[in-house]
Amino acid sequence: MPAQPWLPRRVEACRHARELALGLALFAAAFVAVAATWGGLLAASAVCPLYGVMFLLYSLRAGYYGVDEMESACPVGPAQLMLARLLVAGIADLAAGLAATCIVALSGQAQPGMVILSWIAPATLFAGVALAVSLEFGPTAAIGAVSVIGALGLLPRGLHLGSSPLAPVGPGGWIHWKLIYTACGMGLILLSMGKLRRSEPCGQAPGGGDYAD
Amino acid sequence: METTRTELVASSLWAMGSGTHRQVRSKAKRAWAVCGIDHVFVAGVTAVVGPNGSGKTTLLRLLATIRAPARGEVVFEGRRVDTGGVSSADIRRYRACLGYLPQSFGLYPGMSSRQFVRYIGELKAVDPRELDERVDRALVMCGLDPACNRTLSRRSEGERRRTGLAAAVVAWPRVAILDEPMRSSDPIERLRCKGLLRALADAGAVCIVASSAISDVDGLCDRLLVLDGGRLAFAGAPHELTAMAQGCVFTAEFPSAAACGHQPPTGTVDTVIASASRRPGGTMRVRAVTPPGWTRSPEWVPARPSLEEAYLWLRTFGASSSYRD
Repeated sequence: MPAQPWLPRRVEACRHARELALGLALFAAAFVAVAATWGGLLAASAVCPLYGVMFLLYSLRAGYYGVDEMESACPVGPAQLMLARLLVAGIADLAAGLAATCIVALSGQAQPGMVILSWIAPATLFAGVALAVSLEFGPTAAIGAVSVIGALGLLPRGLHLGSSPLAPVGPGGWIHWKLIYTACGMGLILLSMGKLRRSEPCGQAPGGGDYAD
Repeated sequence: METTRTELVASSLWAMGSGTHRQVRSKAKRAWAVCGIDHVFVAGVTAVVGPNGSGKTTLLRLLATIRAPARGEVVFEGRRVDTGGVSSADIRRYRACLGYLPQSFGLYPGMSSRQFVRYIGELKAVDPRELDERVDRALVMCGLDPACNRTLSRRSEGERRRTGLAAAVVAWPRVAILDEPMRSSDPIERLRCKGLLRALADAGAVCIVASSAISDVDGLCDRLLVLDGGRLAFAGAPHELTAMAQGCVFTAEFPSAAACGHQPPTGTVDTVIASASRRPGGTMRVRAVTPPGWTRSPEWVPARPSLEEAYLWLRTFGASSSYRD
Protein backbone atom coordinates (compact mmCIF):
# COMPACT_ATOMS: atom_id res chain seq x y z
CA MET A 1 0.00 0.00 0.00
CA PRO A 2 1.61 3.31 -1.04
CA ALA A 3 1.96 5.92 1.67
CA GLN A 4 -0.33 8.92 1.37
CA PRO A 5 1.87 11.99 0.80
CA TRP A 6 -0.02 14.13 3.32
CA LEU A 7 -0.01 11.50 6.03
CA PRO A 8 3.22 12.42 7.88
CA ARG A 9 2.33 16.13 8.00
CA ARG A 10 -1.12 15.38 9.37
CA VAL A 11 0.25 12.92 11.93
CA GLU A 12 2.95 15.34 13.05
CA ALA A 13 0.61 18.33 13.25
CA CYS A 14 -1.93 16.36 15.28
CA ARG A 15 0.75 14.89 17.52
CA HIS A 16 2.29 18.31 18.13
CA ALA A 17 -0.99 20.19 18.68
CA ARG A 18 -0.50 20.34 22.45
CA GLU A 19 3.19 21.24 22.15
CA LEU A 20 2.37 23.92 19.57
CA ALA A 21 -0.10 25.56 21.92
CA LEU A 22 2.29 25.30 24.86
CA GLY A 23 5.19 26.63 22.76
CA LEU A 24 3.17 29.59 21.58
CA ALA A 25 2.23 30.47 25.18
CA LEU A 26 5.90 30.24 26.24
CA PHE A 27 6.91 32.35 23.26
CA ALA A 28 4.36 35.02 24.16
CA ALA A 29 5.57 35.10 27.77
CA ALA A 30 9.25 35.33 26.77
CA PHE A 31 8.52 37.97 24.16
CA VAL A 32 6.62 40.16 26.61
CA ALA A 33 9.36 39.74 29.26
CA VAL A 34 12.22 40.63 26.88
CA ALA A 35 10.25 43.43 25.23
CA ALA A 36 9.51 45.02 28.62
CA THR A 37 13.25 45.03 29.49
CA TRP A 38 15.09 45.70 26.22
CA GLY A 39 12.40 46.71 23.76
CA GLY A 40 10.27 44.92 21.23
CA LEU A 41 12.87 44.82 18.43
CA LEU A 42 15.41 42.88 20.48
CA ALA A 43 12.63 40.67 21.78
CA ALA A 44 11.63 39.77 18.23
CA SER A 45 15.20 39.26 17.06
CA ALA A 46 16.17 37.07 20.03
CA VAL A 47 13.02 35.19 21.02
CA CYS A 48 11.72 34.26 17.54
CA PRO A 49 14.83 32.36 16.39
CA LEU A 50 15.26 30.66 19.75
CA TYR A 51 11.64 29.58 19.64
CA GLY A 52 12.13 28.19 16.14
CA VAL A 53 15.31 26.36 17.09
CA MET A 54 13.68 24.93 20.20
CA PHE A 55 10.92 23.57 18.04
CA LEU A 56 13.38 22.23 15.50
CA LEU A 57 15.36 20.43 18.19
CA TYR A 58 12.14 19.16 19.71
CA SER A 59 11.21 17.71 16.36
CA LEU A 60 14.62 16.02 16.10
CA ARG A 61 14.07 14.13 19.32
CA ALA A 62 13.27 10.86 17.50
CA GLY A 63 17.02 10.42 17.04
CA TYR A 64 17.72 11.56 20.59
CA TYR A 65 15.31 9.09 22.14
CA GLY A 66 16.15 6.29 19.69
CA VAL A 67 12.66 5.96 18.21
CA ASP A 68 13.99 6.56 14.72
CA GLU A 69 14.71 2.93 13.93
CA MET A 70 11.14 1.94 14.62
CA GLU A 71 9.84 4.89 12.59
CA SER A 72 12.20 3.97 9.76
CA ALA A 73 10.40 0.67 9.24
CA CYS A 74 7.14 2.53 8.44
CA PRO A 75 6.11 3.22 4.86
CA VAL A 76 6.41 6.97 5.43
CA GLY A 77 10.18 6.73 5.86
CA PRO A 78 12.50 8.83 8.02
CA ALA A 79 13.17 11.52 5.42
CA GLN A 80 9.50 12.25 4.80
CA LEU A 81 8.89 12.28 8.52
CA MET A 82 11.75 14.70 9.11
CA LEU A 83 10.53 17.01 6.34
CA ALA A 84 7.05 16.97 7.86
CA ARG A 85 8.54 17.92 11.24
CA LEU A 86 10.54 20.73 9.68
CA LEU A 87 7.42 22.05 8.03
CA VAL A 88 5.48 22.04 11.29
CA ALA A 89 8.39 23.73 13.12
CA GLY A 90 8.80 26.29 10.32
CA ILE A 91 5.11 27.19 10.27
CA ALA A 92 5.06 27.56 14.06
CA ASP A 93 8.07 29.90 13.97
CA LEU A 94 6.71 31.89 11.06
CA ALA A 95 3.38 32.42 12.83
CA ALA A 96 5.09 33.52 16.04
CA GLY A 97 7.51 35.81 14.17
CA LEU A 98 4.78 37.50 12.17
CA ALA A 99 2.74 38.08 15.32
CA ALA A 100 5.79 39.65 16.99
CA THR A 101 6.43 41.77 13.89
CA CYS A 102 2.89 43.14 13.99
CA ILE A 103 3.27 44.08 17.66
CA VAL A 104 6.63 45.81 17.15
CA ALA A 105 5.58 47.55 13.94
CA LEU A 106 2.29 48.75 15.41
CA SER A 107 4.13 50.22 18.39
CA GLY A 108 6.20 52.27 15.92
CA GLN A 109 9.61 51.03 17.09
CA ALA A 110 10.80 50.01 13.62
CA GLN A 111 9.76 49.40 10.05
CA PRO A 112 8.09 46.00 9.49
CA GLY A 113 10.79 45.03 6.95
CA MET A 114 13.56 45.67 9.48
CA VAL A 115 11.71 43.75 12.16
CA ILE A 116 11.23 40.76 9.89
CA LEU A 117 14.90 40.83 8.87
CA SER A 118 15.96 41.10 12.51
CA TRP A 119 14.41 37.74 13.39
CA ILE A 120 14.37 35.87 10.10
CA ALA A 121 18.17 36.17 9.70
CA PRO A 122 19.07 34.45 12.98
CA ALA A 123 16.10 32.07 12.68
CA THR A 124 17.22 30.73 9.30
CA LEU A 125 20.89 30.65 10.32
CA PHE A 126 20.12 28.78 13.55
CA ALA A 127 17.73 26.39 11.84
CA GLY A 128 20.19 25.72 9.01
CA VAL A 129 23.09 25.05 11.39
CA ALA A 130 20.93 22.94 13.72
CA LEU A 131 19.62 20.85 10.85
CA ALA A 132 22.96 20.36 9.11
CA VAL A 133 24.76 19.49 12.35
CA SER A 134 22.01 17.18 13.58
CA LEU A 135 21.96 15.24 10.31
CA GLU A 136 25.69 14.65 10.52
CA PHE A 137 26.36 14.41 14.25
CA GLY A 138 23.00 14.06 16.00
CA PRO A 139 20.67 16.39 17.91
CA THR A 140 22.96 16.79 20.92
CA ALA A 141 25.71 18.29 18.76
CA ALA A 142 23.11 20.54 17.13
CA ILE A 143 22.06 21.90 20.52
CA GLY A 144 25.74 22.68 21.24
CA ALA A 145 26.29 24.40 17.88
CA VAL A 146 23.20 26.57 18.21
CA SER A 147 24.07 27.46 21.80
CA VAL A 148 27.53 28.64 20.71
CA ILE A 149 26.17 30.81 17.91
CA GLY A 150 23.44 32.18 20.15
CA ALA A 151 25.93 32.99 22.91
CA LEU A 152 28.26 34.73 20.45
CA GLY A 153 25.33 36.86 19.30
CA LEU A 154 23.96 37.73 22.71
CA LEU A 155 27.18 37.93 24.76
CA PRO A 156 28.27 41.44 23.70
CA ARG A 157 24.86 42.79 24.63
CA GLY A 158 24.83 40.90 27.92
CA LEU A 159 28.22 42.40 28.80
CA HIS A 160 26.95 45.88 27.83
CA LEU A 161 29.48 46.05 25.00
CA GLY A 162 26.81 46.99 22.50
CA SER A 163 25.78 44.79 19.60
CA SER A 164 28.47 43.52 17.27
CA PRO A 165 27.76 44.31 13.62
CA LEU A 166 28.52 40.64 12.88
CA ALA A 167 26.26 39.30 15.63
CA PRO A 168 23.47 37.21 14.16
CA VAL A 169 21.16 38.05 17.06
CA GLY A 170 20.10 41.55 17.99
CA PRO A 171 18.61 44.56 16.30
CA GLY A 172 22.02 46.07 15.50
CA GLY A 173 24.38 44.98 12.77
CA TRP A 174 24.53 45.71 9.13
CA ILE A 175 21.71 44.83 6.82
CA HIS A 176 23.98 43.03 4.39
CA TRP A 177 25.25 40.78 7.21
CA LYS A 178 21.66 39.92 8.07
CA LEU A 179 21.04 39.11 4.43
CA ILE A 180 24.18 36.96 4.31
CA TYR A 181 23.04 35.06 7.42
CA THR A 182 19.62 34.52 5.87
CA ALA A 183 21.19 33.24 2.67
CA CYS A 184 23.60 30.94 4.57
CA GLY A 185 20.75 29.58 6.68
CA MET A 186 18.55 28.98 3.66
CA GLY A 187 21.46 27.32 1.86
CA LEU A 188 22.08 24.94 4.76
CA ILE A 189 18.36 24.16 5.03
CA LEU A 190 18.12 23.41 1.32
CA LEU A 191 21.28 21.29 1.37
CA SER A 192 19.98 19.33 4.35
CA MET A 193 16.60 18.81 2.71
CA GLY A 194 18.35 17.58 -0.42
CA LYS A 195 20.39 15.19 1.69
CA LEU A 196 17.24 13.95 3.38
CA ARG A 197 15.52 13.41 0.05
CA ARG A 198 18.53 11.53 -1.31
CA SER A 199 18.56 9.31 1.78
CA GLU A 200 15.02 8.16 0.96
CA PRO A 201 14.02 5.32 0.87
CA CYS A 202 16.97 3.99 2.85
CA GLY A 203 15.96 4.11 6.46
CA GLN A 204 19.20 5.34 7.97
CA ALA A 205 18.00 7.81 10.50
CA PRO A 206 19.33 11.36 10.68
CA GLY A 207 21.96 11.83 13.31
CA GLY A 208 23.31 8.32 13.10
CA GLY A 209 22.97 5.52 15.54
CA ASP A 210 24.98 2.62 16.74
CA TYR A 211 24.88 -0.56 14.83
CA ALA A 212 24.81 -3.46 17.18
CA ASP A 213 25.18 -7.06 16.21
CA MET B 1 -8.00 -14.90 4.36
CA GLU B 2 -4.44 -14.99 3.04
CA THR B 3 -4.22 -17.08 -0.11
CA THR B 4 -0.82 -16.12 -1.55
CA ARG B 5 2.28 -17.65 -0.03
CA THR B 6 4.27 -14.96 1.73
CA GLU B 7 8.00 -15.27 1.18
CA LEU B 8 10.95 -13.11 2.03
CA VAL B 9 14.12 -14.04 0.20
CA ALA B 10 17.60 -13.05 1.36
CA SER B 11 19.98 -13.55 -1.52
CA SER B 12 23.77 -13.43 -1.02
CA LEU B 13 23.55 -10.74 1.64
CA TRP B 14 26.76 -9.06 2.72
CA ALA B 15 26.94 -6.22 5.21
CA MET B 16 29.54 -4.57 7.35
CA GLY B 17 29.57 -4.73 11.10
CA SER B 18 29.16 -2.61 14.18
CA GLY B 19 29.82 1.07 14.51
CA THR B 20 28.28 4.36 13.68
CA HIS B 21 27.59 5.40 10.09
CA ARG B 22 30.92 7.18 10.06
CA GLN B 23 32.81 4.15 11.35
CA VAL B 24 31.06 1.85 8.91
CA ARG B 25 32.09 4.13 6.05
CA SER B 26 35.66 4.13 7.29
CA LYS B 27 37.75 1.49 5.56
CA ALA B 28 39.84 0.99 8.70
CA LYS B 29 36.83 -0.27 10.64
CA ARG B 30 35.48 -2.57 7.96
CA ALA B 31 34.55 -6.05 9.04
CA TRP B 32 31.85 -8.19 7.54
CA ALA B 33 29.06 -8.86 10.02
CA VAL B 34 26.93 -10.76 7.50
CA CYS B 35 28.76 -12.80 4.87
CA GLY B 36 26.80 -14.07 1.88
CA ILE B 37 23.63 -15.26 3.56
CA ASP B 38 21.10 -17.01 1.34
CA HIS B 39 17.79 -18.03 2.80
CA VAL B 40 14.10 -18.10 1.94
CA PHE B 41 11.94 -17.06 4.89
CA VAL B 42 8.49 -18.59 4.57
CA ALA B 43 5.32 -18.28 6.65
CA GLY B 44 5.85 -19.51 10.19
CA VAL B 45 8.30 -18.66 12.95
CA THR B 46 11.96 -18.63 11.99
CA ALA B 47 14.36 -18.19 14.89
CA VAL B 48 17.74 -16.60 14.30
CA VAL B 49 20.17 -17.61 17.00
CA GLY B 50 23.88 -17.31 17.54
CA PRO B 51 26.46 -15.91 19.92
CA ASN B 52 26.93 -12.18 20.52
CA GLY B 53 28.40 -10.50 17.46
CA SER B 54 27.36 -13.27 15.10
CA GLY B 55 25.41 -10.87 12.88
CA LYS B 56 21.83 -11.53 14.02
CA THR B 57 20.89 -7.89 14.44
CA THR B 58 22.66 -6.84 11.26
CA LEU B 59 20.77 -9.51 9.31
CA LEU B 60 17.45 -8.38 10.79
CA ARG B 61 18.20 -4.74 9.99
CA LEU B 62 18.92 -5.68 6.39
CA LEU B 63 15.64 -7.58 6.17
CA ALA B 64 13.76 -4.67 7.78
CA THR B 65 15.20 -2.16 5.24
CA ILE B 66 16.91 -0.21 8.00
CA ARG B 67 20.26 -0.80 6.35
CA ALA B 68 21.31 -1.30 2.79
CA PRO B 69 23.34 -4.43 2.09
CA ALA B 70 26.82 -3.98 0.67
CA ARG B 71 26.02 -6.83 -1.72
CA GLY B 72 23.03 -9.05 -2.34
CA GLU B 73 19.34 -8.34 -2.23
CA VAL B 74 16.15 -8.83 -0.25
CA VAL B 75 13.11 -9.87 -2.28
CA PHE B 76 9.50 -9.79 -1.06
CA GLU B 77 6.81 -11.32 -3.26
CA GLY B 78 9.03 -11.12 -6.31
CA ARG B 79 10.02 -7.45 -5.86
CA ARG B 80 13.38 -6.28 -4.63
CA VAL B 81 12.87 -4.34 -1.40
CA ASP B 82 16.35 -3.78 0.06
CA THR B 83 17.47 -0.18 0.21
CA GLY B 84 20.23 -0.58 -2.35
CA GLY B 85 18.85 2.00 -4.76
CA VAL B 86 15.70 0.30 -5.99
CA SER B 87 12.12 1.47 -6.33
CA SER B 88 10.93 3.34 -3.27
CA ALA B 89 7.33 2.36 -4.08
CA ASP B 90 8.23 -1.31 -3.59
CA ILE B 91 9.96 -0.53 -0.31
CA ARG B 92 6.97 1.46 0.95
CA ARG B 93 4.63 -1.35 0.00
CA TYR B 94 6.87 -3.78 1.88
CA ARG B 95 7.16 -1.52 4.93
CA ALA B 96 3.37 -1.28 5.10
CA CYS B 97 3.32 -5.09 5.54
CA LEU B 98 6.25 -5.06 7.95
CA GLY B 99 6.31 -5.07 11.74
CA TYR B 100 9.74 -4.40 13.19
CA LEU B 101 11.01 -4.46 16.76
CA PRO B 102 14.64 -3.29 17.00
CA GLN B 103 17.08 -4.79 19.49
CA SER B 104 17.45 -1.51 21.33
CA PHE B 105 15.11 1.38 20.86
CA GLY B 106 13.69 4.37 22.66
CA LEU B 107 10.19 5.67 23.08
CA TYR B 108 8.88 9.20 23.45
CA PRO B 109 8.82 9.52 27.24
CA GLY B 110 5.85 11.89 27.35
CA MET B 111 3.54 9.48 25.54
CA SER B 112 1.50 6.67 27.02
CA SER B 113 1.80 3.15 25.60
CA ARG B 114 -1.52 3.62 23.84
CA GLN B 115 -0.50 6.94 22.29
CA PHE B 116 2.77 5.49 21.03
CA VAL B 117 1.18 2.38 19.52
CA ARG B 118 -1.48 4.57 17.93
CA TYR B 119 1.21 6.86 16.53
CA ILE B 120 3.03 3.94 14.87
CA GLY B 121 -0.33 2.64 13.62
CA GLU B 122 -0.96 6.00 11.97
CA LEU B 123 2.46 5.95 10.35
CA LYS B 124 1.69 2.44 9.11
CA ALA B 125 -1.39 3.94 7.42
CA VAL B 126 -3.80 1.66 9.27
CA ASP B 127 -7.40 2.46 8.34
CA PRO B 128 -8.49 5.18 10.83
CA ARG B 129 -11.83 3.43 11.36
CA GLU B 130 -10.03 0.31 12.60
CA LEU B 131 -7.12 2.01 14.32
CA ASP B 132 -8.46 2.24 17.87
CA GLU B 133 -9.65 -1.35 17.84
CA ARG B 134 -6.30 -2.58 16.50
CA VAL B 135 -4.35 -0.54 19.06
CA ASP B 136 -6.40 -1.99 21.92
CA ARG B 137 -6.01 -5.52 20.57
CA ALA B 138 -2.22 -5.14 20.17
CA LEU B 139 -1.87 -3.76 23.70
CA VAL B 140 -3.97 -6.52 25.23
CA MET B 141 -2.07 -9.21 23.31
CA CYS B 142 1.18 -7.80 24.69
CA GLY B 143 -0.16 -7.72 28.25
CA LEU B 144 -0.63 -3.97 28.52
CA ASP B 145 -3.71 -2.20 29.79
CA PRO B 146 -5.12 0.04 27.01
CA ALA B 147 -6.79 2.28 29.58
CA CYS B 148 -3.56 3.01 31.48
CA ASN B 149 -2.41 6.57 30.89
CA ARG B 150 0.95 6.21 32.63
CA THR B 151 3.66 7.80 30.49
CA LEU B 152 6.42 5.66 29.05
CA SER B 153 9.01 7.44 31.19
CA ARG B 154 7.36 5.83 34.22
CA ARG B 155 7.11 2.35 32.70
CA SER B 156 9.48 -0.51 33.48
CA GLU B 157 11.97 -1.83 30.93
CA GLY B 158 9.77 -4.87 30.28
CA GLU B 159 6.67 -2.73 29.75
CA ARG B 160 8.53 -0.45 27.39
CA ARG B 161 9.72 -3.44 25.38
CA ARG B 162 6.17 -4.79 25.24
CA THR B 163 4.98 -1.38 24.05
CA GLY B 164 7.52 -1.68 21.24
CA LEU B 165 6.24 -5.16 20.47
CA ALA B 166 2.62 -3.90 20.40
CA ALA B 167 3.70 -1.12 18.02
CA ALA B 168 5.38 -3.72 15.79
CA VAL B 169 2.23 -5.83 15.50
CA VAL B 170 -0.44 -3.09 15.53
CA ALA B 171 -0.94 -3.33 11.77
CA TRP B 172 -1.04 -7.15 12.01
CA PRO B 173 1.98 -7.46 9.71
CA ARG B 174 2.59 -10.10 7.06
CA VAL B 175 6.30 -9.95 7.88
CA ALA B 176 7.24 -9.54 11.55
CA ILE B 177 10.93 -9.01 12.28
CA LEU B 178 11.48 -9.02 16.02
CA ASP B 179 14.87 -8.67 17.65
CA GLU B 180 14.90 -10.19 21.14
CA PRO B 181 11.16 -9.70 21.75
CA MET B 182 11.27 -11.61 25.04
CA ARG B 183 14.15 -9.75 26.63
CA SER B 184 13.33 -8.32 30.08
CA SER B 185 10.13 -10.41 30.24
CA ASP B 186 9.01 -12.70 33.01
CA PRO B 187 7.89 -16.29 32.21
CA ILE B 188 4.21 -15.30 31.90
CA GLU B 189 5.03 -12.52 29.46
CA ARG B 190 7.28 -14.90 27.52
CA LEU B 191 4.34 -17.30 27.14
CA ARG B 192 2.13 -14.42 26.04
CA CYS B 193 4.73 -13.33 23.50
CA LYS B 194 5.05 -16.87 22.18
CA GLY B 195 1.26 -17.03 21.82
CA LEU B 196 1.28 -13.76 19.88
CA LEU B 197 4.01 -15.00 17.54
CA ARG B 198 2.19 -18.28 17.00
CA ALA B 199 -1.03 -16.40 16.20
CA LEU B 200 0.81 -14.26 13.64
CA ALA B 201 2.44 -17.32 12.08
CA ASP B 202 -0.87 -19.19 11.97
CA ALA B 203 -2.36 -16.22 10.13
CA GLY B 204 0.26 -16.73 7.41
CA ALA B 205 2.85 -14.18 8.51
CA VAL B 206 6.59 -14.61 8.15
CA CYS B 207 7.89 -14.18 11.71
CA ILE B 208 11.63 -13.78 12.12
CA VAL B 209 12.74 -13.76 15.73
CA ALA B 210 16.32 -13.18 16.86
CA SER B 211 17.30 -14.50 20.24
CA SER B 212 20.46 -15.27 22.11
CA ALA B 213 18.57 -17.69 24.38
CA ILE B 214 17.59 -21.00 22.78
CA SER B 215 15.01 -21.57 25.50
CA ASP B 216 13.04 -18.57 24.18
CA VAL B 217 12.50 -20.19 20.80
CA ASP B 218 12.42 -23.87 21.80
CA GLY B 219 8.98 -25.24 20.99
CA LEU B 220 8.03 -22.03 19.17
CA CYS B 221 10.05 -21.92 15.97
CA ASP B 222 9.32 -23.90 12.84
CA ARG B 223 12.76 -23.21 11.42
CA LEU B 224 16.06 -22.33 12.97
CA LEU B 225 18.98 -20.34 11.60
CA VAL B 226 22.23 -20.51 13.52
CA LEU B 227 24.66 -17.72 12.70
CA ASP B 228 28.31 -17.83 13.54
CA GLY B 229 30.73 -15.13 12.46
CA GLY B 230 28.17 -13.71 10.03
CA ARG B 231 27.72 -17.03 8.23
CA LEU B 232 24.97 -19.60 8.36
CA ALA B 233 26.15 -22.48 10.49
CA PHE B 234 22.81 -24.24 10.29
CA ALA B 235 19.47 -23.70 8.59
CA GLY B 236 16.63 -26.14 9.03
CA ALA B 237 13.94 -27.43 11.33
CA PRO B 238 14.79 -27.73 15.03
CA HIS B 239 14.36 -31.52 14.90
CA GLU B 240 16.99 -31.67 12.15
CA LEU B 241 19.47 -30.01 14.45
CA THR B 242 18.65 -32.34 17.33
CA ALA B 243 18.98 -35.30 14.92
CA MET B 244 22.48 -34.09 14.02
CA ALA B 245 23.45 -34.18 17.69
CA GLN B 246 21.94 -37.62 18.23
CA GLY B 247 24.48 -39.93 19.85
CA CYS B 248 26.56 -37.02 21.10
CA VAL B 249 24.68 -36.27 24.34
CA PHE B 250 25.15 -38.43 27.42
CA THR B 251 23.98 -38.35 30.99
CA ALA B 252 25.54 -39.73 34.15
CA GLU B 253 24.93 -39.61 37.88
CA PHE B 254 27.78 -38.88 40.27
CA PRO B 255 27.81 -39.17 44.07
CA SER B 256 28.97 -35.55 44.52
CA ALA B 257 29.66 -32.41 42.58
CA ALA B 258 33.39 -32.82 43.12
CA ALA B 259 33.35 -36.27 41.61
CA CYS B 260 31.90 -35.19 38.30
CA GLY B 261 34.39 -32.40 37.75
CA HIS B 262 33.66 -29.55 35.44
CA GLN B 263 35.16 -28.75 32.14
CA PRO B 264 34.97 -25.35 30.53
CA PRO B 265 32.63 -25.11 27.56
CA THR B 266 35.23 -24.63 24.87
CA GLY B 267 35.85 -26.59 21.72
CA THR B 268 39.29 -27.67 22.83
CA VAL B 269 38.08 -30.18 25.41
CA ASP B 270 36.57 -33.52 24.56
CA THR B 271 33.24 -32.94 26.38
CA VAL B 272 31.11 -29.98 27.37
CA ILE B 273 28.94 -30.14 30.49
CA ALA B 274 25.54 -29.01 29.25
CA SER B 275 23.84 -29.09 32.64
CA ALA B 276 24.41 -30.32 36.17
CA SER B 277 21.58 -30.66 38.68
CA ARG B 278 21.49 -31.85 42.27
CA ARG B 279 19.24 -34.88 42.83
CA PRO B 280 17.20 -35.49 46.04
CA GLY B 281 19.73 -38.03 47.39
CA GLY B 282 22.57 -35.53 47.13
CA THR B 283 23.90 -36.99 43.90
CA MET B 284 24.62 -34.89 40.82
CA ARG B 285 23.05 -35.62 37.45
CA VAL B 286 25.22 -34.36 34.65
CA ARG B 287 24.44 -34.05 30.96
CA ALA B 288 27.38 -33.77 28.62
CA VAL B 289 27.73 -32.89 24.95
CA THR B 290 30.53 -34.78 23.26
CA PRO B 291 32.22 -34.91 19.87
CA PRO B 292 31.22 -37.68 17.47
CA GLY B 293 32.93 -40.97 18.31
CA TRP B 294 33.68 -40.02 21.91
CA THR B 295 34.92 -42.93 23.99
CA ARG B 296 32.70 -42.99 27.04
CA SER B 297 33.15 -44.61 30.40
CA PRO B 298 30.39 -46.98 31.63
CA GLU B 299 28.57 -44.47 33.87
CA TRP B 300 27.63 -42.31 30.87
CA VAL B 301 24.43 -43.37 29.11
CA PRO B 302 23.14 -41.93 25.82
CA ALA B 303 20.42 -39.27 26.15
CA ARG B 304 18.07 -37.59 23.75
CA PRO B 305 19.48 -34.13 22.94
CA SER B 306 17.42 -31.06 23.72
CA LEU B 307 17.50 -28.14 21.27
CA GLU B 308 19.86 -26.26 23.55
CA GLU B 309 22.23 -29.22 23.74
CA ALA B 310 22.07 -29.67 19.98
CA TYR B 311 22.96 -25.98 19.58
CA LEU B 312 25.83 -26.42 22.02
CA TRP B 313 27.03 -29.44 20.06
CA LEU B 314 26.83 -27.50 16.78
CA ARG B 315 28.74 -24.54 18.19
CA THR B 316 31.41 -26.69 19.77
CA PHE B 317 31.90 -29.73 17.57
CA GLY B 318 29.58 -29.60 14.60
CA ALA B 319 30.17 -26.19 13.04
CA SER B 320 32.89 -27.29 10.64
CA SER B 321 30.73 -30.07 9.23
CA SER B 322 27.59 -27.96 8.71
CA TYR B 323 29.07 -24.62 7.54
CA ARG B 324 28.21 -23.57 4.07
CA ASP B 325 29.40 -20.63 2.04
